[in-house]
Amino acid sequence: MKAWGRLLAAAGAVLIVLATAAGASAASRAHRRHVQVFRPTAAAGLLLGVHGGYQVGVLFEEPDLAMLVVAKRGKSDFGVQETTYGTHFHGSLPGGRLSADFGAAGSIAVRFRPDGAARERRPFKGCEGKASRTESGHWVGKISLHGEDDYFAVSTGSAGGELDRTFRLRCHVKYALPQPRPESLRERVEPQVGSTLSSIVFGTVSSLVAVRREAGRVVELWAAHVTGAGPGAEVEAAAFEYQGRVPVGRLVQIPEAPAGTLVTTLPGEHPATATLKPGAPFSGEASYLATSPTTHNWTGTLAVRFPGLVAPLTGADFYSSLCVVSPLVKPHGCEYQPPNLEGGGESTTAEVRP
Amino acid sequence: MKLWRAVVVLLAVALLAPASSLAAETFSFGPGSVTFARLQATHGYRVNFSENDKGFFFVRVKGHGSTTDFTVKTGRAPGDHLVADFGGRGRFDLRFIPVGEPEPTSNEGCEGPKGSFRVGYLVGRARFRTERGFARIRLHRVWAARESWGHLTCEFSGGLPVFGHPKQKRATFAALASDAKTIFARPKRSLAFRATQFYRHAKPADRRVDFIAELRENAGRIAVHRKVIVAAPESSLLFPGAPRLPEEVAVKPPAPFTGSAEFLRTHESTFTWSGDLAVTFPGLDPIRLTGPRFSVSICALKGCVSRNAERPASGS
Repeated sequence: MKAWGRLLAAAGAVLIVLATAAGASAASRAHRRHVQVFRPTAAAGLLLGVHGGYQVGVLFEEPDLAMLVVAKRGKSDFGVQETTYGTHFHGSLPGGRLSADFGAAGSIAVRFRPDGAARERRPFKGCEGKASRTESGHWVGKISLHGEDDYFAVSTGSAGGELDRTFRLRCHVKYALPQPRPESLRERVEPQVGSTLSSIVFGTVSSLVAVRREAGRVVELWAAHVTGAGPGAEVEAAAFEYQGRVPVGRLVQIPEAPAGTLVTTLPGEHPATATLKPGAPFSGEASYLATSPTTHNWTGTLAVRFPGLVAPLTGADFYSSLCVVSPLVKPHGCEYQPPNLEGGGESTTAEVRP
Repeated sequence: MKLWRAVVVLLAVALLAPASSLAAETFSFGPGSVTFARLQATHGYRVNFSENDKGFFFVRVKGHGSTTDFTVKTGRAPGDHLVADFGGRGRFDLRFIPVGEPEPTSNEGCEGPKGSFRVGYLVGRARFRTERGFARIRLHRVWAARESWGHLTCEFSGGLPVFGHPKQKRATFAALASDAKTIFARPKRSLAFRATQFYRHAKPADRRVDFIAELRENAGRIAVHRKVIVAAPESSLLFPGAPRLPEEVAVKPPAPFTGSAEFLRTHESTFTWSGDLAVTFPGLDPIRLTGPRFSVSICALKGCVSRNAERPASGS
C-alpha cells in the first residue's frame, strides 16, 4: 500500500531529521548554534480489513487530508495494486471527531474511542517538549464505503485504528534542517511511476514510458531494467483522474517481473524497438517501434487491471519513449534522461510531457 | 519520488557525515618480530619462509610470473625454534643461531622505540614440496635474519607507492567467484580474474594490459593463495561493441591463460560472461574463469557496469 508506505517514509524522514539533529547536537555540544522548532503534528489511521480481496483503510493527515486506500500486496513478488480516493475531512484530528465525503465512493463520520494506555516516545536527546503519543482504539460512528461496481464494499459502525500525535519540539542543532513542505491533496493522491527504490538507488539502463491523457484521465506506464540487476524488469502503471471533486489515483507495481518481460534493442541500434509482456494484473503485450526520432509507434493488446478500473495501455493516442543507455557513457542512467515522448503521428510532445 | 530522494539524501548525510569527520592522519601498530630466510628451489622457483611472533608460519614460492603463499597457524609462542607442519607438503624444524650483534633499524616517518635486525643461520631440518613437485626445497642450514620492532606510530606519507595507480588506468575488468553463502561470510574458496588496461604513456605497447588470476583456499588449517600475473599487448583486451557499447569486452590473455572470453550485453540489459578462458596455476589443473557463478564488473570511461553472480554458488 503505497499510501501507507508514504506515511512510513514520511515518518522515517522525520525520525532521520530528528535523529540527525540530536546526533549533531550530541556530537558537538560546543557548536549547537541553532535552536529549531518542530511543529506539532497529528495523524490517524482506520483499518477496515479485507473486502473484495483488498485491504481497505482510511488515513487522516493534517491539515485536512483524508485518503481512502484500497490495496492488495503480493506476498511473494512484492507487487502492489492500489487505488486511493482523496478528500478534505471536517472535524478535529487531535480531538478525534472526523467526517469525510468521498463522493461516489461513500462517506465516513466517526469519533475516536481509545482502548487502554497510550504508547509514548520521549523526545530525542537535545530536544525539549512533550513525548509523542500513539493511542490505539476504535473509531465509531457511520462508515459506508464502496468502489466502482462494488469491487469492494464496507458498511459498519466501528473499526480499529490509531491516533498519533507529536507535540512542539524545541531542538538544539548544529545546522538548521529543512522541514518538508506539506503536500496538497492532489500531490498525496496522484501516483508517480518510475520512482521505485532500486531504480533511484542503482539507476536504470533501459526504460520504456507510455502516457495517455484523455477525458481528464492520465494513464502512465513505466518499465525498466535496473542497473546491475539480473534478467527481468520493474513494471509500473498508474492512472489519475477526478471523480467529481474526489481525486482518484491508481497504481500497479511489479518490482520483480520475470525474465523476458522487457526486451529492447541495444544502444545505438536502429530502429529502436522494445516488447513488453508483464504478467498479472497486466494482460496482453505491447510493441514499441521508433521509425524516426519523432514517430514512435506503441501498439498491441496490453492492458492493466487497477482496483476498480481496467485500462488499455496501448493505442494511437499513447505517447511513448524508449531510453537505452550505456552506463559507461551515461553513468546516471535513464533516470536523468528527459523522455522523448512522441506519438505515432504528428508530435505533440510539449502537450503530453508529464 | 521527491520524498524517496529526500530520504536517501538524509540517510546518506546521517551515515556519511560522522565517518568523514573521523579521518585520522596517523596509524600505529604493535610490537612484533619475524624470522625469515630465502633460498633457491627447484625448477627456477625461489622460496621465502618466515615465522612471526603471532604464531603464523608462511611459505612463499615465487617464479615464472606466479606466486603461491602457504600459511599455517602454529599458535606457538615466539622463540628461537621454528616449527611448522604442512602435512603432505612438508615440515620445518629449525633453530635460529644468531651471528654477531643485532643492528638497530631505522624508524623513518614513525615514532617509537627502535627495532633491531639480526642475521644468523637456521639449522635443523626442513623440507617442502608443492603440488606435483613444481618446486621443492630440502635444507639443513640456511642464512636467515630476525627483525623486531616496538610499538610505532607513523604518519601517512600521502604518496604510497601503489601498483598500477588509478590515474594510469584506462579500463579495469574483474570477474570474481566464491563459495561464500553471503557477502559477509568468509569464503573457503574464491577465484578472481582481473585485467587492467593502462594509458598509452604508462606502459610500452607490448605490456599495456595486465592480467591477474588469484585463487584463495582456506581448507583445514592451511591457507593457500595462488596468483599469476602476465603482461600483454592491447590486442589481448578488446572492446568489440565500442563506441556504441563500450561495456562489451573480449579478452584473450597469453599463457598461463588459455582460451578467450566475452562479456556481452543482452537485450534485457543483463550481461553474460562466457567463453573457454581458463588459467593454469603451477601444480594445478586448468581452472575455468567464465560462467554464471562469476560476478563481473568493468570500469571505463565515465562509469562502471557490474553483473552479480547467480546464487546459490556451488563452490569455485
